[in-house]
Amino acid sequence: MKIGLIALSGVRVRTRELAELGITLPQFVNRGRVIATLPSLGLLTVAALTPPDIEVIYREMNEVSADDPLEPFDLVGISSFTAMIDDAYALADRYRAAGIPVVLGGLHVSLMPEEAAQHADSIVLYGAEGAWPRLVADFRRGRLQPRYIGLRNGVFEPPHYASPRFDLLQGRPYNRITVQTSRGCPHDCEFCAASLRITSRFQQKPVDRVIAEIERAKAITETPFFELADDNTFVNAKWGKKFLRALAPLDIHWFTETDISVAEDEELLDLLAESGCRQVLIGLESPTAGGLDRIDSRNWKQRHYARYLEAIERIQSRGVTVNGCFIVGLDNDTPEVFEQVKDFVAQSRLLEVQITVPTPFPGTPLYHRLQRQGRLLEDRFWDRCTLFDVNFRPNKMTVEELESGLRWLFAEIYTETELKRRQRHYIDIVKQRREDQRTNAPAVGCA
Amino acid sequence: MTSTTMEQKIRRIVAAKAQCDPERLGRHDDFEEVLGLDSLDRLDVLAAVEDELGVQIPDDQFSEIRNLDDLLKALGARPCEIAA
Repeated sequence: MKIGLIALSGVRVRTRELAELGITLPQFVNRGRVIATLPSLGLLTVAALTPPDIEVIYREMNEVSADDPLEPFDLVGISSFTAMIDDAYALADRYRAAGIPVVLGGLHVSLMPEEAAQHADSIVLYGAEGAWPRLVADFRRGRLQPRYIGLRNGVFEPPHYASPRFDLLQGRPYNRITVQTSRGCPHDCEFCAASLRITSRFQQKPVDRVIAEIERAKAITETPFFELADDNTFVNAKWGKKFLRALAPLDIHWFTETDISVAEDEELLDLLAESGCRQVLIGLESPTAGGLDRIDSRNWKQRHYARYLEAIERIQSRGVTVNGCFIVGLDNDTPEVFEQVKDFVAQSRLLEVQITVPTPFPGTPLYHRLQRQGRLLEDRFWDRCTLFDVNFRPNKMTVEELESGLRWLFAEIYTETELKRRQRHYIDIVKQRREDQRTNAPAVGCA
Repeated sequence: MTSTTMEQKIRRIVAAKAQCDPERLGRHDDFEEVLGLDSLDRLDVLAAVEDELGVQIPDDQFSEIRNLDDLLKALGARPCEIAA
C-alpha cells in the first residue's frame, strides 16, 4: 500500500497594488516567503503515525502539476491552510474523480469541517494523533469513516506521540527545518488562527523528545537552520532554560515565536544567545496601549505594553534579533496608526518588522464577531486570508484608508535605507558584545 | 597592515564562521549560497572584520558584499595587491 501526503505551500497577495509593491519592496514578504518554503511538519507527523509496512510518499503541492497525470496512490492525505484551501480542494477533487480516496486535515479543515467534507472521503479534525492510526486501520479494512476526531491534548505523550519522519526530507532543498516544542498558547488572541484552535490547553513536549527530534533532523541537512513551529515557545521559563541548555551543544541556528515576557529573565536571554537563537518573532500587535485593548481576553498584551521598548532592547542586546509584528487596522486604530508604527519602529530600533492587517480567518472569534457585526466584505474570501489583503470594514477608518495606509507604511519601513540602518544597528550590537566579552574575560598570565 | 595580512585575517574570520579551512576558501565563494551562511552570519562576519581590523565598512555596501573578494574591495584593498 502506498499513501501520498501532499503539503500546501505559498501565499499570493491578492490586492493588485500590494502585489506590485511587493516587487519593489521584497522585504515585506520575506517572512511569507520563508513560511512558504518550510516543510509540512504536520504531514511528517502523519507519516510517523503510519504503520511501517505502508510506503509513504511526501510531496509539495508545487510538485503536482495540473497538466500532468496524477501520481498513483492508494490513499491521499492533503494538509490545509486557509489561503490555499481552494487549491487543496481542487487537487482533492481530481484525485477523487480518478477513484483515489482523499483525506483532508489541518487547521482550516478543523475550523470548517462541513465545507471540507464536500471535497474528501474523510476528514481529520484537530491533531492527527489519536485519529490517523485508526483511519489507516479502517481504510485497510475497507471501512473508511467520513470523519475522525484527533486529540486536542496529550499529543506529546505515549502512546500518541510520534517523532516526525524527517528522513522523508532527505535530498530536498529546504533552507529551514521545523520542529515543534509546543502546541497552543495561553493568550487567546481573538484573531489567532494557529494551533490554539486545535488544542484544548497549552501543551509542551518533554525536552528530551525535542532534542532527539532536532538531532534526527540535523542528520539529514548540511547547514540546518531550525524553526520552532510554536506559537509561544517560552511560556514556561523553567522548561525554556532546560531546553536551551540541552540545545546549546547541538551548534545550530534557530528561530521561534514567543511573547514579550521572555525579556524578563536575564538567564533565559543569555541562554537564548548561547544556544544559537537568531531571531524571536513577537506579536507586539500595536504601537499604542489603546490599540491593544481586548486583543486577548485577559488584556495580557495591553498590560505588558509599558515594557515593550525595554524588552526589545534587552533581547536585541544579546545579538538575538526581534521580528516585531504589528497589526494595523485594529478596532481602536485610527488613520494615525501608520505614523505611530513608523515612529515606534524607529524608537525601538527593531531589527526586523512585520506589518499585517487583521485577518478574520474562518472559524476564529474575530471572524464570528465581524460576521455578527456585518463587517465582512464578502461571504467567502479564503484565498484573501494572506494577512495583507483587507477583508473587513475597519472600525475607525475606511477600507481604502487601511489599504493605502498599509502601502504607505510598507514604503516607509521596507526601504533600502531602513534595511541598511537595521544592518548597521545589528553590526554595532555584535561589536559591542565582542567588546564586552573581552572586557569580562578573565586575565591570562597574571599573578 | 598589508593587503596580504588583511586577507589572511579576513579569511580566518570567514572560515571560522563557515566552519571551513581558511586556505580552501575561494575568493568568489558566495557567503550564503556556497558557504551556507545565513544573512545574520554574513553581518556577523562584517562585524568581526570591523572589530578585529579596526575599520568601518560603508553601510551602503552591506548588501553588495557577497564573498571574500567583495569584502576586500569594500575595505579598499586593491586587487593587484591581494595575494593569490
